[in-house]
Amino acid sequence: MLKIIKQSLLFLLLLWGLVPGSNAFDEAAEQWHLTEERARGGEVYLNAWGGNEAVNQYLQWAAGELRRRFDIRLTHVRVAGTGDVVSRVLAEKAAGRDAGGSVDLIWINGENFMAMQQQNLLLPPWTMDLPNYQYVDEVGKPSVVIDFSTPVNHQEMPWGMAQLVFYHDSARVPEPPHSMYELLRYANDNPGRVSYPAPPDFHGTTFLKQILMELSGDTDFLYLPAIQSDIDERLAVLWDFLDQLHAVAWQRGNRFPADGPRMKQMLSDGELHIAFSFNPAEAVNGVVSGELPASVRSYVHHHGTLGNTHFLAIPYNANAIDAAKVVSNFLLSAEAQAKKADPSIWGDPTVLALDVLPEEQRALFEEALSHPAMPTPSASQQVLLEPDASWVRVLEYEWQRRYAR
Amino acid sequence: MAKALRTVSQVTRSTDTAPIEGPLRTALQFFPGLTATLFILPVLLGLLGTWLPAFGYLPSIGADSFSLQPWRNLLDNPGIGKALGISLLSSWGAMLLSLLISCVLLAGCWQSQLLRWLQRSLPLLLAVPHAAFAIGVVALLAPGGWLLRLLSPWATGLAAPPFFSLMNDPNGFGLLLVLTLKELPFVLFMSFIALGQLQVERTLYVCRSLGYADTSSWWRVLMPQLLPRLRLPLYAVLAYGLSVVDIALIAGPNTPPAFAVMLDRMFNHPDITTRLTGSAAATFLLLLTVGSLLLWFFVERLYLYWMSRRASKGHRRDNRFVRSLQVGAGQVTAVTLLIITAGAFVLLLLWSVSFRWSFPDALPDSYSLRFWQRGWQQLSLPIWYTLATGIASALIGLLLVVACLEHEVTRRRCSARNTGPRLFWLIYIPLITPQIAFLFGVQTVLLQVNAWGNLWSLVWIHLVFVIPYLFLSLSGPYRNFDDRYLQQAEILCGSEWRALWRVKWPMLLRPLLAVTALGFAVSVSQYLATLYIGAGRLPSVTTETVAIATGGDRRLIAVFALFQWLLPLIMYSLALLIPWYIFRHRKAMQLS
Repeated sequence: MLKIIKQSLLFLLLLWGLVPGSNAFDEAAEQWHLTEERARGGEVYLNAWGGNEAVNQYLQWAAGELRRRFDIRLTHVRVAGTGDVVSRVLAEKAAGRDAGGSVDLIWINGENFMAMQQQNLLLPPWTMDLPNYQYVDEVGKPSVVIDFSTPVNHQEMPWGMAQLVFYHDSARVPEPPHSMYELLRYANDNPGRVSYPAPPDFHGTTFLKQILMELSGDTDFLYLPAIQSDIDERLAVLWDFLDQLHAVAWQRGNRFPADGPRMKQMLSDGELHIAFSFNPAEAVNGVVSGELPASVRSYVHHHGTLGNTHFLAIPYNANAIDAAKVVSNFLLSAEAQAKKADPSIWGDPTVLALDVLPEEQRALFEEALSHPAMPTPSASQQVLLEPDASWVRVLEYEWQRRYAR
Repeated sequence: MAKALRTVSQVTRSTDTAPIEGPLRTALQFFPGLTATLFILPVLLGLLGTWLPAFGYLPSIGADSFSLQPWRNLLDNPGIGKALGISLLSSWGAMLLSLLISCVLLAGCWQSQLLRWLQRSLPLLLAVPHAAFAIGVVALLAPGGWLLRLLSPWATGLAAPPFFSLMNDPNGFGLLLVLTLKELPFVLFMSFIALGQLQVERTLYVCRSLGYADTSSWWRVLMPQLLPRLRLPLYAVLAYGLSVVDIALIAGPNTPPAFAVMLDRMFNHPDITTRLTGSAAATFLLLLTVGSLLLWFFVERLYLYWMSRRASKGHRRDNRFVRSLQVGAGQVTAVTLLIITAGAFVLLLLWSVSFRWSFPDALPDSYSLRFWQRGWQQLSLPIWYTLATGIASALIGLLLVVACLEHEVTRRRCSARNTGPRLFWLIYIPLITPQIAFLFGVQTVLLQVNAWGNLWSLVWIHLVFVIPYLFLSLSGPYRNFDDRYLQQAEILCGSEWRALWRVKWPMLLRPLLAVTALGFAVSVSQYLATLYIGAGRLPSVTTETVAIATGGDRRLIAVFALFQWLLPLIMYSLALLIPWYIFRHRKAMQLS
């Protein structure tokens, strides 16, 4: 009798194993649950640019939440530039430290990502395992899968969207120029009040790309690798424009602001009339924090402006890989993304597809307040994709060869 | 490497021929060798780690064959010629100007109340961290700066910043100015130490009796003696000017930038292979520095030769106008220096409590304390790391340097001929080597021995920079200490230790504390070393300040810069207050 019961129980157990209830979805959830368990008590060192107070404050909030919910300690290592971090991971590789590295997460995109990927400094594809990745807007925001023409290959997690946005003090400049030609005309009328950061600062290089995008009739060539024999002909229109602009620019084009933040100071003092940033909420942050006058407004050019995505990546030798994944998943959650998108916090646009999100999560995004210094919502539709990464070096080199020697 | 070490220890031993007795003295003789080895080692290893990539060898990025390609890439860099020009102009200019101004001040204002006052405030000026000073000066003198805000619009008629700018000019004159202002207190401080070894009053007395005015005796008799004694500090100034990155970023041009900034960019370029070019550039910077030091050596010799020829030919004409001009120029520069430093400090204070401050208002439109709150929030941990590293490296450095100097003094007692240290110039190598040229290599070595990102490694690397400054500034007072006090004390109490503890070191308390504070300040101001060795685990006030400075928020930058300024300031205040309290009942030990 006992034997029969035992056997039938075993049979039932076997059957249980065959039921389609344990499908791939549950398995993934189980895997993720295990990841979260392993991540408990972990310490994650997120190496990210520390110059922006809005970002610093946001990450401090995230650190508090992660501690409370997942028992993970998130430390924001505030660095002056991503290059510092790439150097560090490289030094670790050079010294043969293939595990237990000092960087768990790195804020990255574009050229730095490409370099780390090429040098095998990144963890093999991992972002598809994050439960929240399913809501990422791969269709509407192509730059979340192609980072400056480099396929992301799930080796970095889309964190936020960036777009080149211009801003001006409406008290000084009531009607800002909405294209590069209008900008040149404005500079002609107001000599000495327009400039841009000197490349290789990335704001400066972006400005050059934007000019090239607007002035070249056909922009297809920009999405292919730069060909040496082609460069002079393709870029002639850019140098011609810059020669005209420099003649009426700040310091007659003999000097340039050091970077985007320096432009912000100069706009605040009235030394420059137009500044730009990759953070659409830069002007709002500035107004809210008192850095900029309350009359500052943002806008984009009529033909659209360059946009891209910024990501979080895990180096190949990270010390707390599981915890870093849990942190990434949290930062990708609707809650964290909505908070980030709030212009009074940071104002960084989300990478999620709002229409796919469950109703109650979508509602979180609608709570975010709008602000008069924010660019109009329609502006964010006019996004131009970043050219092929090889153009960055070409533009930097050729610009320096002409204007910085 | 082992060979180099052996040579080092051989050289040390061969200098210690004089018989030395007593357990303490015996122990002491190991210190110079120990100090030199411990602190030259990382530099030599680091240089190796930079020279190999400079010739195309960096296996971790797949570069495993030697080539000259990095050098070709370096030369192909647009603007490299001008970048070198900017670096040479600003470093040589700052060195020569700070020397000239120091000399003019000494010759024109010796014994004046002004100079005495300046001498007293020098430690405070030296405590100012480079980055904080540069940020303050630029905020003062830039087109949108405080100076113009104070003058506008009532005097200048400006409603918006002008097109003229003193800072960030393409030729690097603004950089030259900031560097000069920053180096002047150092050169002056070192001059005072060197003058302690000369008999200034007696020399002036003799010259006066021969009918010379004091200013011309200064130029003819004292300067030729002072200049060789300033050689090392001036080397340090020159090398610093060539390799400085932070000040060059803040006050320098960017079309192109100074060579050191260009180099820094190569090390941080997204394209990893650019690091090979960076290594070549670092090596080139080292060569450039060595070349500059050699050149200065010959210029100094030539000048001294020319001076002595002129003097022996009987050239004695003296221009009364030039003399009074000197006095005036000396006074003006001294006052300007003090005003600019004080102005920068007050301006940073103002920015740190302002909320909105628009041009051309002389004072902020609205105030807020929130930035101090945020600064404190972000710095509460880095402050502890900074204090721990700074105090540890200052104290260890003090111990080693005092031991070395004590040994040297002992040797001097044993043999009159053996006065100067022979091997000890090695200790100054870190001062004249561009940091960036060896830090990448040090980092790799430390990683390999798993000694990375911990406090002791960081202290060790800071000591590499702290020790030479300690040695530079303590050797004067220590060597000039009248040995007869110690001899009397030893006779009276019968113990070397007690004599040192009860008599010599208390008598030297003031300089000992002053150099400890200096050592602390040097440690606080280390940026690259902390960044590379701290691995993001040990943020310091300086690394946080540089990070926040990239964001351009002037209020936060001011708060961070002030924190960076306040730490050494507290140490210097302690160095002034402790002797004042201890010696309050001892009249002879009080400052005149």
